[in-house]
Amino acid sequence: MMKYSFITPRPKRIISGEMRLALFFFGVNIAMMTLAYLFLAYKTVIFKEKHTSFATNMKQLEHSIHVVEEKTANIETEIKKHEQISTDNTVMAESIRNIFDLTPDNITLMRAELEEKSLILYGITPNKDTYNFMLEAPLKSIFHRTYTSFYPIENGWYRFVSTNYLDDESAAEVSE
Amino acid sequence: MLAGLFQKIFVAIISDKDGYDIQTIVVKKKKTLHKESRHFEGDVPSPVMIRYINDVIDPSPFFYISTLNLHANQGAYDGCSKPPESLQSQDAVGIQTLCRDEKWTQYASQDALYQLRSQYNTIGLDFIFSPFSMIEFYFADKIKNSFALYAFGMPELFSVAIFDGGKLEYAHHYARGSSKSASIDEEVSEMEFTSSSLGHEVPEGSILLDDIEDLEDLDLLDDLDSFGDIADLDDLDEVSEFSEDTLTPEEIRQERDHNTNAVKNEIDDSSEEYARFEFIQKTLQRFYASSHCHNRFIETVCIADSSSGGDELKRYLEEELFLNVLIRKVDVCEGINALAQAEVEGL
Repeated sequence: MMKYSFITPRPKRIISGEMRLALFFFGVNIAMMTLAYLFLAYKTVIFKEKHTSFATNMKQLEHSIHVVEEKTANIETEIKKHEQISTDNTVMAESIRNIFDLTPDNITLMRAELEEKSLILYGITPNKDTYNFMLEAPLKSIFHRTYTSFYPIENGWYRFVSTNYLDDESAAEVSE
Repeated sequence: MLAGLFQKIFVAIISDKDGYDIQTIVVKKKKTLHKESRHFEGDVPSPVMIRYINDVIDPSPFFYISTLNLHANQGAYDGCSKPPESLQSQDAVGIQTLCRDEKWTQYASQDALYQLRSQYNTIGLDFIFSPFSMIEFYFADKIKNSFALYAFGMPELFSVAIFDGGKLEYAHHYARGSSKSASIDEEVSEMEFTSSSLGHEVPEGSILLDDIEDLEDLDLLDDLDSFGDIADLDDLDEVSEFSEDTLTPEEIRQERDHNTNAVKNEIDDSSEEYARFEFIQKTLQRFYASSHCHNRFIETVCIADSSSGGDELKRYLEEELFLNVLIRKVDVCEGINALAQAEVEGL
């Protein structure tokens, strides 16, 4: 209620119509930017969670890969061992077969000790010459060092012990 | 709350016959930062004036444009009851009232207020004040304590109110010579508080010499024929004025009327000061004739005057009507802005 005036003053607005319109659009822009920011922040949080999850998974996978690699290495080692053993066995079988092929019919082998770099043969020969010409000669062509010991037996034959050694280089070649 | 951060701009507009007087006051936290007065010519608010006001109010949304109601159809009456039917019936649209301190009421024609709003529709109005509010503002220190006649004078109007200890005893608004809001013919407001006009108070059979202005009026002297018998002159012994040494109120009034005739010869009839003298004289006559007088006599007249003169009026009132006269020179625009500030503080 007015004290002195017959009319009441017009309402006073701090913000004019044009300014209110500008502020409205400004507010809409801010709201949209805020929503976009919140959306991006939400997405960032989700992304970080996924990133953390992926990093954890990656570590687990790396660990698994390491384990698998170790297993693979072990398997490869085993395979190599297997191959080596197989090769050794093959070589040994071949060597044995060669030994038997080398051995003439009139010489009897009683025992053979085949090592990696050595071959020790135990047997009976009718005489030393037969052994020297028919068995020792091939053995000497194979081994670097050959030592033979004869022991006469009752029927006039000789029991022999032939010890043959391969040096390192030759052993490697033989093993290959 | 935010309003305190802004400046408040008060613009007072007063229209006169030369144009528009505008005063602008910029206030912040009850401190006046800037004050400027301008005058614009024209009968209607010119584009230059409107542009000036728009430039002035542009810095702050809290601006208040005020003006004074110069229209003839306004006044004031005692009490805060509904206006009398006689007041309401004189204006087709009706009147708007404003109760002051639950003691007295200012009123104005709705049509006049509408005209004012239409006149300033390009810039808008926030406050329309009554001249009686100006009287109350300028003489706030005296109205509540003394019994006197208070007047507010502008070139366009002259408002008179009689207060006794804050109680409104009589009020009258004279609108004069306005080219915009009131016609010249509306010299005296028809909507007045007084219960009877000067013409009605004259006892039957009496003759007022003031009424004799041309030869035709001399017919009034025919009433002298009522003294048909010289014996009637014996009745003169019964007239109280001859039977007592002290002057009765009627004697004082008649003496003042007599002195007025003398003043008429001294003052130029067309002058502003004579018109005011006449308004005050008429007001006193009407008050003394009304039922509100109760044999009281007004000894003091306080006039808030916006014009530069006033010395002669003071002398006439003192010498011819034996009144103590106080004339305050006022800036009406400043008063309007002060009222506007008071209104804004009360919001």
